[in-house]
Amino acid sequence: MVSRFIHITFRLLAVVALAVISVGCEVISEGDRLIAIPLPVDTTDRTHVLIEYTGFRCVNCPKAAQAAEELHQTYGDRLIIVSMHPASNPFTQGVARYDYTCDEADEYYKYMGGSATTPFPTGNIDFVQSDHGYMSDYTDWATLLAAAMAAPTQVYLSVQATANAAGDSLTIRTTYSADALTECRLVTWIVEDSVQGAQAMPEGGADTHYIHRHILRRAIGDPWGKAVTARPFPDELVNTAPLQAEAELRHYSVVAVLMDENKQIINAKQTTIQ
Amino acid sequence: MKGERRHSVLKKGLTALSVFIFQFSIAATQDTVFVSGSVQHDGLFPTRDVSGVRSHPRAPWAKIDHLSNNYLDLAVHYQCYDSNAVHFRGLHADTRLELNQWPLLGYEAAFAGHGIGRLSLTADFEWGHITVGDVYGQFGSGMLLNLYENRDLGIDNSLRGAKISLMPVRGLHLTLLGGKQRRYWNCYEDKAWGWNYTQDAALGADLELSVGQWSPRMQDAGVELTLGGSYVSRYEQNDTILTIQDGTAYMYNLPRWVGAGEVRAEVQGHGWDALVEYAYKANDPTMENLYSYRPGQALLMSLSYSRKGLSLLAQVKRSDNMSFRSSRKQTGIAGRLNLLPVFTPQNTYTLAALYPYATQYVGGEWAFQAEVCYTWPRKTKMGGRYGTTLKFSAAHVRGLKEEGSWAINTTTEGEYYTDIHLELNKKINKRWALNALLMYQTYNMQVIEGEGEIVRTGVAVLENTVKLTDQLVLRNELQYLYTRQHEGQWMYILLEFNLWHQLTLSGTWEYNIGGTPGELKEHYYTAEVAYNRGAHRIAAGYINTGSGFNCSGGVCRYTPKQEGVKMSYSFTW
Repeated sequence: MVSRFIHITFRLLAVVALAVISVGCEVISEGDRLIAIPLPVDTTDRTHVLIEYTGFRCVNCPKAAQAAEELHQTYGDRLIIVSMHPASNPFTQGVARYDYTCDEADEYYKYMGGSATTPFPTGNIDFVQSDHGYMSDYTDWATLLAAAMAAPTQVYLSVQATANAAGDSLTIRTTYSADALTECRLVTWIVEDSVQGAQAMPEGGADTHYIHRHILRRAIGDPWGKAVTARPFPDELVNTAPLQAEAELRHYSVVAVLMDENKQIINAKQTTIQ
Repeated sequence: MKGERRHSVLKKGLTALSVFIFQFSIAATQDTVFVSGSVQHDGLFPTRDVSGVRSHPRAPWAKIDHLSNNYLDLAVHYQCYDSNAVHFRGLHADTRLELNQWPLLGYEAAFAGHGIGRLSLTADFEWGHITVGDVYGQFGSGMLLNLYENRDLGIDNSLRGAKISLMPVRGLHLTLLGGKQRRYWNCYEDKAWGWNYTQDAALGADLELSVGQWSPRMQDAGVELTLGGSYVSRYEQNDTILTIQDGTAYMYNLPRWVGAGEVRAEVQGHGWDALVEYAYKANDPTMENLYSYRPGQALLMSLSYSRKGLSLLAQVKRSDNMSFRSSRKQTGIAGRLNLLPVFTPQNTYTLAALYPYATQYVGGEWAFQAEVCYTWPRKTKMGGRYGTTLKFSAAHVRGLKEEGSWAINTTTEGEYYTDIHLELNKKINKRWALNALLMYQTYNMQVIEGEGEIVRTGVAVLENTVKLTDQLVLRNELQYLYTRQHEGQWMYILLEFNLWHQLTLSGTWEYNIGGTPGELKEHYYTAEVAYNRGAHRIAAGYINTGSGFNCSGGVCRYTPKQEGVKMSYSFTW
């Protein structure tokens, strides 16, 4: 009986061992883990937009902000970062003086499937939906951005923003054109940079002197913009909007975004307020 | 000669096949065929959009006023009692229809959908089982593989493939399985119905030897020694994942096959049970661990003792980077191959469960648990007329000392969770029984939820069950939670009347007393009527509940605030 047991056991072990060897396991040695590749860069006029959903109570959001900043340093003015603080997510809520939310941020967040339970930090490139939905982890942003860079644009855009002497009114001139007739939506955002406030930090506790970057404050007009037709020659759209007199204009910028009929960003430009 | 042998083998094979087919004939007098199944419906008519779900512009249920989870399980069993050449014993066909297009609140977005969630065919033999279709199972304590369904959490992580369990001789158990893991409705992503293994798949083998079955000396001594080992390998096609470091773009060289092994030994005898289990996972860079190549490890040690009236338990676990998923981009509660054993108590009282612990799969943890349960016998000084049971348990979880900054949930050395329990169960007289609980808890909200402070709570619970008449039973719960952090103090009252053992009327009131800057000062209440008859249960009521976490086995699902009319029905046959 015992010999039969041993015999069967060894036969089974042999089968298992064979299965293990055949399917195995790939162990990647330390020197082979990263493969250097050419930096993917869009050679056309296109500028891409990284939407960063964040909140001051989110512990890991500073890591995502750092990742976004690294991408910005790499791609320069080929990439615009816009940080959105959606009110629907509890990471943005709780203390009124650190409330960086705006209705438009919540509108876009819900459009992308965000809810109270969506884990933060998360983000999106150009309002494009990937295999896993609109939202993606910050570890994926470099990959998604590289894919976006592979799609050149045929729509061109430039924007200028000028404040009046009193500093209470803003005039935005947007010029757009396309190689062929293209139906678009022109969206304009006001973005504020370098806002000092509290932020939960990965190492624990909160940093009350944290600098929040690229905060979306509002959209000029409809959050989904105005319908325009881009033609092979430049068209100009002029918008005016009130400004808060006390606002430090040097921290504000205007982002103009052209979206296609699927609400995907096909080009964008950012300008400081003159 | 060779030809004759081949002919003989062929003949035997055909004989076996014909016998096998014959066994399906239900004309055989001793064989039986029966159908079993269940229906489950849990629904909510939200009266107020407190969680903003109905205003969700992309949600297909945006204009739907009824949210529900619906399941229909159906199984056909054929049992064969005649001995035959292939030792065939039976056949089971299992299927489950899921209608969760507009699910209850708090489930992950991908949970929404409808279709056949389970389809499998199992053949039973004297020497084991063979399943084709959706397979479930667990290797050892589940540190490498635990395929299960939990409807409360919305988890079904079965593999669509095959499973073979062999018990060729006494004391030996071999399991081989493989397939593509279910991640909500990924089987409908292509036309292969989950049978396409080119993108991802998992394979596993488990061998368990009951040594005591082969040793007369061990049998005489009343001791059983079980040795086991498992291997699980996950395949996933290569992804292009980029990272930019110092202005240079790099692509991760990702392993397509990730292997993990586990060994275990368990000794049982004379009321004692000692278990040691160790698991190792090779480099598994995933989105969850920020593409770290560091191997994962887990060690579990458990010692328990049980005799009439007394049970003891002491357990230790150390785990590090042991999230093992079928897809490297999967996060959330779906797509996990393993389930680390939870070393914190599963609290059932509402306020005791207000701050539940969620296992830290990626960042790792040290977990300790001890429990003593003693029952004083009847007619003793402490036991009284009906006996008294006292249970003391303590659980403590803390972070690893090693630098774990690669973990997405920031790993910090220090206390994650502590739970110290003292519970008394006493039957006072024929009609009155009570259960009292005192609990101290420390909850590291930042580690467990991603933001917040360390919350220290004290909880007191008194539960009374009073048999007013033979047909009327009253149960009540009084609960109080004290804390100076987060939302502050809470109180909770439950009243439940059970009439004729069939009709249950219950109501709860929960109030946030507050006392902290984060206080809610809100009232939450529920009222429910439930009726049981045989295997049927129907319930309806009004609920107004706060947000929180629903946890099971260390896995948690956030449940948002909700208000509305709730209905449920279940039937098992």
